[in-house]
Amino acid sequence: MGSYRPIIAGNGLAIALTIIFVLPITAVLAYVSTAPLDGWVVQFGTWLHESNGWSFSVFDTQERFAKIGFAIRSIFIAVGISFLYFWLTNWLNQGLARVASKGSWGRESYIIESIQPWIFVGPALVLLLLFLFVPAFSTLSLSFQEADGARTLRNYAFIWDPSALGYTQFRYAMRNSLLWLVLVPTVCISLGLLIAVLADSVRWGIFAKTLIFVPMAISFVGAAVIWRNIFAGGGIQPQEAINGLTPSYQIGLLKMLLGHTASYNEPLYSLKFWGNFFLMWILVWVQTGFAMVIFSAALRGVPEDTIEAAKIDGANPFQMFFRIKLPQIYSTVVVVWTTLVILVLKMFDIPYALSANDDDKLLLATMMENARNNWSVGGDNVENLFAAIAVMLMVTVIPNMVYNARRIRREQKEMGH
Amino acid sequence: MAQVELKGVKKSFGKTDVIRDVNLQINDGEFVVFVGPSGCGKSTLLRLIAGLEELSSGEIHIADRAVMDLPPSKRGIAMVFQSYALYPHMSVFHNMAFSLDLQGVSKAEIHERVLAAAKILQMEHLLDRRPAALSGGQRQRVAIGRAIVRNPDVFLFDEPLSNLDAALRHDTRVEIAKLHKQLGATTVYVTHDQVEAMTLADKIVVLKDGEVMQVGSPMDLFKSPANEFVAGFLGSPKMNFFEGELTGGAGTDQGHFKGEGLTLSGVRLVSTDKSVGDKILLGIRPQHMTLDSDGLLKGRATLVERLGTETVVELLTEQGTSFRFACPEMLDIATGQDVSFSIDAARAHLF
Repeated sequence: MGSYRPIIAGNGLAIALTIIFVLPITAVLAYVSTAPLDGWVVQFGTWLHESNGWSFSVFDTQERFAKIGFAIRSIFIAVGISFLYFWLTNWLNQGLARVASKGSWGRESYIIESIQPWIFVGPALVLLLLFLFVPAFSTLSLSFQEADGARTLRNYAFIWDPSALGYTQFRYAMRNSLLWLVLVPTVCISLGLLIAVLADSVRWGIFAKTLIFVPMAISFVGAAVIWRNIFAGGGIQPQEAINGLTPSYQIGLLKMLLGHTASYNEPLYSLKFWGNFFLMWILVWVQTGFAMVIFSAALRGVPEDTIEAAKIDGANPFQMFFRIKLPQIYSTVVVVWTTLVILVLKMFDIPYALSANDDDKLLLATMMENARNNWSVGGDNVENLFAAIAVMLMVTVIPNMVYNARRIRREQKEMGH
Repeated sequence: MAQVELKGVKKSFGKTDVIRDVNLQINDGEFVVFVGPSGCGKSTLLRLIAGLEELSSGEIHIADRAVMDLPPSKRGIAMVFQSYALYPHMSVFHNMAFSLDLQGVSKAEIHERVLAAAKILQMEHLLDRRPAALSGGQRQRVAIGRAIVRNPDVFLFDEPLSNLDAALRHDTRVEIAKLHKQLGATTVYVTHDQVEAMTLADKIVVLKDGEVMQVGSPMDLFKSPANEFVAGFLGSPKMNFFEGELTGGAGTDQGHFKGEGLTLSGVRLVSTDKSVGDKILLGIRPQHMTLDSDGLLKGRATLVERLGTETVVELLTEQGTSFRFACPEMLDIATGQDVSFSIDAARAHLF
């Protein structure tokens, strides 16, 4: 079918060009022709303003209603344009194929079916390119530039050079990110597996699993606030009554159990170095439920007969788990691990909520925000500087990506694909 | 000596009784087949022996040891599962070596024993492969190999051939029979296929609704079935049954029968509790009837199946009872034709 390639390429190009011209023009026409609608919405707003006696100015009201009108029009136009896209491409594809195939029905459907997938994938590809690849590469390019666009390695020098200002923060951020990367997924997976296995063997297992899953529904900031109250140092010194009220001073639950008093007012998560582990624990608390639920389902999927065969072979519960069950859900473990690694690399909320300005607790993501707020390197190339940090973040993901790609390929080979 | 003894074995799941009071003696080296329709409890009985299910009451002895409280691995058994139950993440070698490894057998001995088993089953070339890379028949061999390696007192097979195609099923059946001769170990084999039961067994145990219907050698069961169920279950095509009346011989082992235009005397009477005048069933195998133009049993052919080696004719009597006739010759009978048969009383049964 190689001889059809020029026809397919020609038809595809024709469709693409038509779309590029027709859709924007249609959109502009649609916006222009529906513009008077905004006027009616504004009039309606003005009428509401007068009849209800709203206190803010007429001008503000009119401006807001103009925006509402525009938003409503945009929704309809966007849906209409999408519809037009599929209708037009489909019509063109079939029409062009009919002309090119000169009456051969088999050839016509072959040409149509070669182009059709691209019609559906096309918009997604364009969006992916525009909002993922282009920014990624422009970040890479920005990280090698001065503010005026001149090529430089100074941004990387700044975060890697021990004598430079950024190095201290970058070193902490790298250390902490690596610690988080290793510890959080490991602990989540170990706890998740343990709970998934143990919960299956007790009657109140479902209740226990529910309790452990609940934190999944809590936002990271929310979780950080909850645990702040447990790790909190309290320690507001008793003060004079203000307006007749004596401000209470509180101490976190865990610190109280450890026997700390209010006068020792450092929260556990602020401890030098060791504080990081308390921050990690918060993420573990939120994410263990996720690991547990997935492992629980995967363990149910282990064929019962292999477990029975192992029983007959004489495996004890430990051997059963480590040599029969775990290897069979290994690919699930890897998927969960990957998900958690990506989550940790994105982790921002928890350290930012509890220790935003503490260099000792920085992660690469929080360091980027920190750099945006506080750094300048004798110039205005701050954007370029945190482009460099972003690139470093991306580099830390690469080993994970490579490992996964290789694993998927190996599995496909084993399955005989 | 590895005999297996079941005494008053009962098993219920909740309120459902799956096994009701089974007593059974399996001798050393014997090949015993549990056979019955699905849901008769044959697999459950096997799993009770294996220790994968817990007894509700009763006793199981293997090699003169009460095993009720022993885990499966300590009972001296090895089991081959219907689905093979190979460990998908291990190579064939490690699948077979797993039990030995758990027992702490030395590496050298594991190697030796696995290779010996692989040689018996002619699959030395498969040892490095994963189960996913094996055909159904090869997986079956590995499953059997895994059982052999353990060197058990008793082999348990749970419908091992039902996932194989017809040709492979036949070959594997022959191989299992050979293997049993070679190893001489006590074997308990579960199947719903009466051909497997007839060809493999030293002793067949026919089960229905959790109860033993009859125990005996294949030919005993075929020739003198203890009840209507066993008679109908073994043999292909199924035995024919005609309703009629007991006209004499009540309480003895020879009865007289009248019904469907037939009068027979001196037929093997199974139900000894019937008295003269009671309704009774006459059973006769399709192969044991004779074409006879003067015969008293008359029927009209509704379907003729020519299998090459055999012709099977389905017929309908005037009273509307359907029955079959089978004979090894190419018969010249057409659908709709009236045919008469005579019946040899010595080969019939009264239930």
